[in-house]
Amino acid sequence: MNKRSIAFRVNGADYEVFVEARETLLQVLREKLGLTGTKQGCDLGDCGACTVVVEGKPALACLTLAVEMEGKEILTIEGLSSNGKLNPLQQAFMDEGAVQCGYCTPGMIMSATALLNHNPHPTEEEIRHGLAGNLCRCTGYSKIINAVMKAT
Amino acid sequence: MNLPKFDYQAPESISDVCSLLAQAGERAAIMAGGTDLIVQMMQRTSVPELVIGLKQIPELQNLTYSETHGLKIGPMVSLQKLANASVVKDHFPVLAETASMVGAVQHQFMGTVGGNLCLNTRCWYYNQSADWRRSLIPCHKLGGDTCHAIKGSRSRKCYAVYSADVGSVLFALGANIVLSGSQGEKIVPLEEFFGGDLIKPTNLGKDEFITEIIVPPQQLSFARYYKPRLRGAIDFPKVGVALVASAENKDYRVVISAVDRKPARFKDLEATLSQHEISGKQVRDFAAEVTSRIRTVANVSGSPAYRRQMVNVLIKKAFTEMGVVS
Repeated sequence: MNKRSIAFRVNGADYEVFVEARETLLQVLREKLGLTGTKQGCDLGDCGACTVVVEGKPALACLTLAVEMEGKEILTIEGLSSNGKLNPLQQAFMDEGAVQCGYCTPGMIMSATALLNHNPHPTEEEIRHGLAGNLCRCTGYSKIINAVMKAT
Repeated sequence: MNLPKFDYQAPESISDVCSLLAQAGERAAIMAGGTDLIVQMMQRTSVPELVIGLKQIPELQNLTYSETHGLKIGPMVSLQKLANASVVKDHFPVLAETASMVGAVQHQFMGTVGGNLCLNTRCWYYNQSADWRRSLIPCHKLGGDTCHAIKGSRSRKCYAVYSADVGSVLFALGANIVLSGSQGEKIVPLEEFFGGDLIKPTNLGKDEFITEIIVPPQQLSFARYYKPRLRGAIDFPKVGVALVASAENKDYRVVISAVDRKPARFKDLEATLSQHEISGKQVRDFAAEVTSRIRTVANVSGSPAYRRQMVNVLIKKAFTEMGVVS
């Protein structure tokens, strides 16, 4: 049960960290890399708050073992803006008022990012399907859907 | 929440997995996508000493079709790939549709066909945190001798249900699986694979794992899976109903999920549909008889009465949509 070294890229930067087998990607991102934009919600894969993009695909960081991330390219909410400028999706969330308490927002934006990777011009129905695994307790979803529509 | 301590290995060949399983036996757990196993480990319903990851074995991710052998699915094929692959959509669209109903998008990208087949049975009293469960004596699935879903006298039976959507449809399609283990390789019909003992959905040996799923070629006139669930976005089925039919051959297979510890099928009742031209009355009688044989208890979402009623409704809906009755 020794720690082992894993190397991966997060938001374009190379990292090498020592992890136990039982550490999740969520724990490593938040506690070892200090990337607390990825949120811990249910820790059981139900709420989507911890969604990140691994190799272009949406992944629940709470159900991902860090040891399986060797060599992977990972994108988190911190990797979207550049030079202090929000990316179009983040800006659309701001413009549409798609944020209330904000806790679900990083997961929502990362699910939307993964969706747009595969489908740059989704229909409203496709957006609703793509974000269905992300729960929000405040906004009622409409503004979130509007924001993703605006960003496409 | 921390996972319990365990060791992790990611072998690069099927034979290496077999060796590890032979050494570790029940102390090991196979991990495919992890969307079921890691939740169980979080909740301490599964506490393996060794987790064997299958992601480093490329041949477990194959997905091919041939007229001779049918559809061959590697157990590590993701549900997302199953839902979108043209080879699946062309030959078994019901499998693609069903895969797109499992969990949410994230689960479909992470979860696998093999993992779905091996989904553990579920129950409100079992799928809870260790702290929550501590207030109750252990149930059958936790090594005890009671079922909390049944009030009054102690039940000798576990009522946890098998909720795998793709697994139930594969069962309806008459799929076979290849099991690899220390004794070599064998092909097993899913009919034999499902069964298990009191608490398990399958007969998977402690040193075996699935290395291929084979759906034989078949001419189907209709195949569909129906899945009412609490939230359309993510949940397990309250019940699931699969109808796979070849009207030309008078072959009607109906499989019900989330009502028993394995997918439920009643071949003797199906036979009554094959004897004559199918009629509305036959379908109504069939649906009523299937419903009467199912026992639902309050252990997953949806009241027991509602779930039974939905089995009846969905069977009739399936035959109506197939177009053989109005």
